[in-house]
Amino acid sequence: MSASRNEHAQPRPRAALNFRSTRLRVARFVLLPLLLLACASSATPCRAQTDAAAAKPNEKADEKASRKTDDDAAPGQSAEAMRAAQRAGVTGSIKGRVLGEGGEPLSGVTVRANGRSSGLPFVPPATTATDEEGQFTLERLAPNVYNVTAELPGYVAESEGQPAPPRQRLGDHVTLKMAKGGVITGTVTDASGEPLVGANVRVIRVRDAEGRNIGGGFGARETTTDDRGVYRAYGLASGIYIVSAGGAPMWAFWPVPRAEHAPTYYPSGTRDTAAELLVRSGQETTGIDIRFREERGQRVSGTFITPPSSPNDDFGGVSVQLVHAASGTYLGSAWIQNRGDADRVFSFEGLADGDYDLVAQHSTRSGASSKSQPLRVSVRGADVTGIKLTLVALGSLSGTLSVEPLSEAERARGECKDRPAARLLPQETAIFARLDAPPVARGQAPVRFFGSETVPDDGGSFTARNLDAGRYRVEARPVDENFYTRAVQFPEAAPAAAAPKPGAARSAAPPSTSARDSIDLRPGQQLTGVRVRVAEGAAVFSGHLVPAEEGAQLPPQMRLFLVPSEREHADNLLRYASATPASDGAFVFRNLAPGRYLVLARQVNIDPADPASMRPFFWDANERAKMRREAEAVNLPIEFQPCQRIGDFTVRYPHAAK
Amino acid sequence: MPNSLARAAAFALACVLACGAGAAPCAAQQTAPPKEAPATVAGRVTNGEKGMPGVEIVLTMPDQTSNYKSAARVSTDAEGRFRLTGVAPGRYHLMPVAPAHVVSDLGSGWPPGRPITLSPGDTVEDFNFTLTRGGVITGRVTDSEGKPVIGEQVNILSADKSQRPMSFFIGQRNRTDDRGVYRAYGLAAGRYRVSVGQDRNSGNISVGGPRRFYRRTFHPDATEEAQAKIIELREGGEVTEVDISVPKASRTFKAEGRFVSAETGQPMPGLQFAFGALIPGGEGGNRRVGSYGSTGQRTNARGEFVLDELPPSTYAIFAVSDENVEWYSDTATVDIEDADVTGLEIKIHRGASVNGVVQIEGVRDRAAYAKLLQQVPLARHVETGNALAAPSWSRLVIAPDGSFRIGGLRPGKLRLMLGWPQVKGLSMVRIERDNVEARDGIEITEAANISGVRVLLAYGNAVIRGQVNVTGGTLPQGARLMVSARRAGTNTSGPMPMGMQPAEVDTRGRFTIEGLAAGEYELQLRLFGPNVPNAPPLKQNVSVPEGGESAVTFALNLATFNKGDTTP
Repeated sequence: MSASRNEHAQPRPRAALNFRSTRLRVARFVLLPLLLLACASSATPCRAQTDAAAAKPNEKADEKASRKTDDDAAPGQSAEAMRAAQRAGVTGSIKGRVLGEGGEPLSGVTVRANGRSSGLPFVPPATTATDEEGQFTLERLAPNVYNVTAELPGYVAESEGQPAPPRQRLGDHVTLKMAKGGVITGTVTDASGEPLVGANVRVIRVRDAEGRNIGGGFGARETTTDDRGVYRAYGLASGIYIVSAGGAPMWAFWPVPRAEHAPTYYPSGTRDTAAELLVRSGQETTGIDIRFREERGQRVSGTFITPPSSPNDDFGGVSVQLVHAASGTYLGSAWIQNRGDADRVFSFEGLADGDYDLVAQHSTRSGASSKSQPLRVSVRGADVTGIKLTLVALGSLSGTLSVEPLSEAERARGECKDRPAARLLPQETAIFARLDAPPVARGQAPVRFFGSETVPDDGGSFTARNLDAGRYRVEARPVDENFYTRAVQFPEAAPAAAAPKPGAARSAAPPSTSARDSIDLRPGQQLTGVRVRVAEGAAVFSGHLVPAEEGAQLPPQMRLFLVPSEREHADNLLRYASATPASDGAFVFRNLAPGRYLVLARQVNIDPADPASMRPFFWDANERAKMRREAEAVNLPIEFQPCQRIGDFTVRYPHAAK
Repeated sequence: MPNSLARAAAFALACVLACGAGAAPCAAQQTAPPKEAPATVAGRVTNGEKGMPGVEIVLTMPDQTSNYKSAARVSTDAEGRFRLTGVAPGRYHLMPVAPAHVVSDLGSGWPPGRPITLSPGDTVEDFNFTLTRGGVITGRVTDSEGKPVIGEQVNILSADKSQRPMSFFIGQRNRTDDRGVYRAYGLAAGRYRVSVGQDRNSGNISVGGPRRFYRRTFHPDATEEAQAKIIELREGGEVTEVDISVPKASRTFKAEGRFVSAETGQPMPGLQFAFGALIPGGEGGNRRVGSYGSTGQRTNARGEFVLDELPPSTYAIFAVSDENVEWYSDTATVDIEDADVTGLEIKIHRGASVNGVVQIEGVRDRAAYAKLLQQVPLARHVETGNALAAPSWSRLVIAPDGSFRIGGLRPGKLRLMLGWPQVKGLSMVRIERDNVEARDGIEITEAANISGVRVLLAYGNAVIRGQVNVTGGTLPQGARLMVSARRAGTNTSGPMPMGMQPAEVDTRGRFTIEGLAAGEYELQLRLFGPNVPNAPPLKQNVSVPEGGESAVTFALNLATFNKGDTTP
């Protein structure tokens, strides 16, 4: 390369580096909001199934007691640095196996441990691969609450019909099961019967194999047709699917044919008339041929306003997400620069008539985030332009978690007697700030955001970030089943007395009834002073839900509830619990506060596409009262002493009237 | 390039979690309001003599870097004709979307397409495209146990000497499916080698991807490129059963070590570390970093790092920061073949510092000046003569009074430049140290504290519109004409020229250079492309009034230009 040519380009190495790194980062920023959208929601399953010792609570506790850490501090450091290193440098591992459907080991599987972060910088997942025996060890993990997930091209996590998997912590051993995914294949032809080449094909999972609705989020999978118009989507989880061809892909780096046309759904119509396909893992659904309707798609475009921030802080762009309103299916993001003299314009092409929800999100590199209210847009035969999204600062909730072990006296008594002391680090409790969104009017976009999850640091301090304004409830989920939530106190309700000292011994008093069970967060408010106390001595309750009549079937969407039988706890949310029975009716309640309860089984109608249906019943005073009346009528009482394990309990449904 | 994009996209999916690590600038999608008379472009898409109906033609902005967007799109009629009307004047790329075909005479830039500059009220006819049916190579990839290799990228490499760009769509679709089957289409006639797996010299890295890899294997089962069976593909032909048998996947390897202070030997906790793959091509036959990336991981309390996602290659490992930090990192180079590497120690140096001030000419309004100052994308680079030095991404923070400070500089020559995102109308004039122009950068010595640096910028919105009249033949296939404008008094020596404003000349010989400060400019016209001799540029001087417009005409006689003669 001659010197003269250099005048048109920066020196090669740097130019090349910049290009690649920029592109990489663009892509990952485009994806971040999508990930936040899906993972912030506690309801969306975006991880592989783990069935670690699910039915063997006692064994698990024993394993915990004997776990060790592989800490070793480097020599030659100051005392302070040494202490800091010891505190922050404690690491451990999570081991496990990945098995196929027949129990055969799967090798070469990529396994990730996704931890939660209390703040910036974000901790990327620790990753490893399974060996010939399907075994893996995720090493050097810091104490945290982990989801362990597995990835193998063409395979899916075997998680159908199972309750949400327990979280992992250092020292745990997990078994992950994967199955060969299903396949949908067919041909896309244009109006004249010629193959449509290179078109975007979207395979959308609308319900699970049992016909239950699933949330939107990651429901869609994209592929393209080849030169014969053939597409083949593989690695599909069991479920009910619809398939479309044409329209804009979620992202593209090159021109895509028919990207600005409205998608045509199999066999040859709109989404409303789409034929549904049942796909089972390992099976192939062929002949799903689509006759493309050359229908012009519409364009939705607009601009946005962000709250003021320093230009030097404002490196990230704004992402605008597009969601299909009725189903919650994520359709794509626009990524727009938010600095300099850039036009702050977003647009989405290739949209069929219908309702769509738009949300704009923005993060600065100092971690300040802002978001717009979701906006519903109706597309009816014409472009929709001039949309304006106003982003408002997101807030945070912070506070402290204290972990309260049993006193020696308590440990010497009753069910706790001779039980090895459970250990729980503050980082091993997930803290959820859950948005209690008011119901939305018909035609308005719901908030598809259920809050934010965090873990405390080693000192117990936590901050749940990126919170929309609204009413929040805070929940603590200790990884160790021997702990329960004793109290959640919000600043206004905090007692005047001194805060309880972490680790101090205290009586096994029942959970305190806080004056308020939620708190209102204003836009951008950084609320502090939330106190969460978790205590050792939780009960564990397991059994089976069975049909009252032999040979009968349980209705779908059954839930089990525990409601407090003591009147004075009627409004104590920490004394309400629910569990989803597995397909064989097995259920387990962990982390239960000791006390007297009534057991109640109920059919529920939870639709992840409808955020309102996801709201826990007992958050509402009227529903709570109704549930208590039902439970009192059924009258299935049960009492848990501290540390008590009650297993093999049988609940018959429908309950016999008393 | 499409391959690396696809790779970036694919692994970005897995590495999104690294987002907290900060951000790189990305350019805007410019959609200029059509305040001037709109333009029209028309042409025909043919396959041989026949017009091709139903082919979409897309018009794209050349400066977009995010998600691919078209500015306009139209389909050809029954005769293969298209006409795009109401187009806002500006620079565009135009291309037919026909993935199964080979499109002749496209530029090699991104987004794909043939460049065109549309002036207000323009009507461009006969902007034609000739398509030929592309060929197909298909086969199945299995491992040594006969199991399908799923979701793996298949590389179709030209075995011909002239490495023409094959297809812009390739990266997206050459992956094996759940049966191990791949189907590459839209390929130009020619001879190809087909491979899967990791090429240790590709210079590509994968961040946050799978923790297993296949060693590069050519069809049918060759590990050496020389042993690869060559596939002969005729125009529109199909070659089947181009199967590849690969050894079983191996796990990726690990490189671990720690970062320590060069001064004290103490571990350096909390540093973000990155790695890049080395490729030949650095100065003096040395290797350089092909691409680099980071998962956002940081060293632990003991300064330790682990990279456990490395397929065989040679890597550079270093600490990076996109903040203005007070240190710089050494680079460790590591050969990964078939084992983990441990015990690496990488030193972090305190670095030198530079204090300076930014001034902008051509803005009188105070508020506008202050706003512009905040937008100045001043970037830095230290030339060390070491192609393996850790890159520094940092954009400088400029205070309201124009002052800035750079810390953590390694010894070498400091170059200051305008980076991304570009601010239209802003150009670099001069860099001074102690009131003397620093033509060749600022010399940085170990741990020095340098002050008195002045960065002089100019702002303007004048325009040069030009016409290049080509005589003495036609431009070679794939050649591009570029015009650059240099403001008088700016320094063009060295690899970081000041104030250069390049523009591409469109097919009708037109070019536009916008956002110029008032002054005297020297225009240089150059020809680039494969098989283009290296000739000195044509030069012309032009005076640009503040906020005004100047017109220029170049007469380019190809017969004499290629011999190195210049016309006045």
